[in-house]
Amino acid sequence: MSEAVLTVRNLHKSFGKAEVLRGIDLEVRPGETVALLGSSGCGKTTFLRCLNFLEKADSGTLAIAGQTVHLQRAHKKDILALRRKTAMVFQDYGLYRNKTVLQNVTEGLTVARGVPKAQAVTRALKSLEQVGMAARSEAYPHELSGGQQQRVGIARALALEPAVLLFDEPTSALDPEKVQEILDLIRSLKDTPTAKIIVTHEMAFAYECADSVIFMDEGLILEEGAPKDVFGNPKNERTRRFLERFTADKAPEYFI
Amino acid sequence: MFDASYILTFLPKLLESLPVTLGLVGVATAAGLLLGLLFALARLEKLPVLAEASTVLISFLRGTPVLVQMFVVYYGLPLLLQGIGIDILRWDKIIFIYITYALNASAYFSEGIRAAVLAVPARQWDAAAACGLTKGQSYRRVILPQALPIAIPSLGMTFTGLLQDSSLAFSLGILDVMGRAKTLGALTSRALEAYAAAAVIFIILTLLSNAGFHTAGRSRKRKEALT
Repeated sequence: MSEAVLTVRNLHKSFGKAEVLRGIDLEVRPGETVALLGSSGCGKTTFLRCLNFLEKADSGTLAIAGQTVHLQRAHKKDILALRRKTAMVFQDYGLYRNKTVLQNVTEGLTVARGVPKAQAVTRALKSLEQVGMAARSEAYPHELSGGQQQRVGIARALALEPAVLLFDEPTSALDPEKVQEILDLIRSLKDTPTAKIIVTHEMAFAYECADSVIFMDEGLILEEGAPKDVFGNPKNERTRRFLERFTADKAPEYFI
Repeated sequence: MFDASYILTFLPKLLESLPVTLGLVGVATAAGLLLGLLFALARLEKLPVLAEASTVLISFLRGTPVLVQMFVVYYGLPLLLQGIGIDILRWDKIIFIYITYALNASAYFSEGIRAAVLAVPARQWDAAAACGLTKGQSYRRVILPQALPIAIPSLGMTFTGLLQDSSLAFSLGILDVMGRAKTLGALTSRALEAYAAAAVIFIILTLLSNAGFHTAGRSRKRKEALT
């Protein structure tokens, strides 16, 4: 087992009086794919956003690729440095609306990573090639369909070659056909050295594609393990109820 | 009797003063935009002290007539600065007018800019931060370029208002288009015609400025169609 690329210890986060994350621990190894499941409001998206400081956690420690930060007193400089080891794919794509597809991908490279322009363009085109969007590199986001925008969103994240790639419900805004396309695309990244953490409601995808599945409820991790264990034999009653419908549907396929 | 032919004779004379009016509006717009941006940023970023100071200043500037502000700046500012040993009593009148109009415009520009920045979806901030951009880089490269097209109609309205308000500068004896119209009218006893000629100039300026902002707004939007 290689060393963890991302380690979270005892992460807490409150919004006002509501404590939404109540002590989360997590280790993710390079190349690993982790699926984060749970009902809406369980804190999984907030947790993901704490990992790149889009939300500031109240306490705990976070280590990414060798850099450790105490979340209580994270400095601007540390936050920026940690962020630059990560990349994120958003539910609603979040492409820069004032920039072309190519500029969307090169932006983080040239501005945040200091990659020379020519080199950034080469890397960006390679990423766009990988997601099948190189032909649209001069288009603006509003000229693209949702599925195409999400491909660009993924290319933008890939081009940064992050140590940890965060997906926040990457398929929730897409129609069923496009969902499959995007999931296939994410599946194709499985053998890259980047660690992938995916917040999703796509149970089948989590079952087939994740190395490890985490079930969250009310700000805590209730269950964690290999997909076949979590889906096949959930230890916790809450997990069982959440997965019930899915496992009932899929039972013949997976569990006999 | 009203004799329209005087309008034509007055027009060239008034146009000689057009540079004064345009200079005033130009300086106020340039300085006002810069100041307005700073005020807006102070409030958006909730900078301690500066944010509160901006809020108070803006509400004063938007809540009092520009004429009052002009007198405050013209008579009050020298006294205030004298108190700390700076003598500006000898400054040219026009400087005080520039300061007044720049401040006045900055308040309206600031609110226009602030509203436009707030209208950019929060996700754009997320996306910029997630790619590792700093706050400043996010503003410069992602947020402000998207806020600009949103702000253009409001900036245009402020500009048009400024154009009309500039005519009050003659109360301090500035010979802009309006000041010139007043003196011409008094000199020839054709005040009505003189003001009518001034009105023609202001209407044309306003139409030109509206057309300019309209085109600017449209060409920007085409590229960045806001969803």
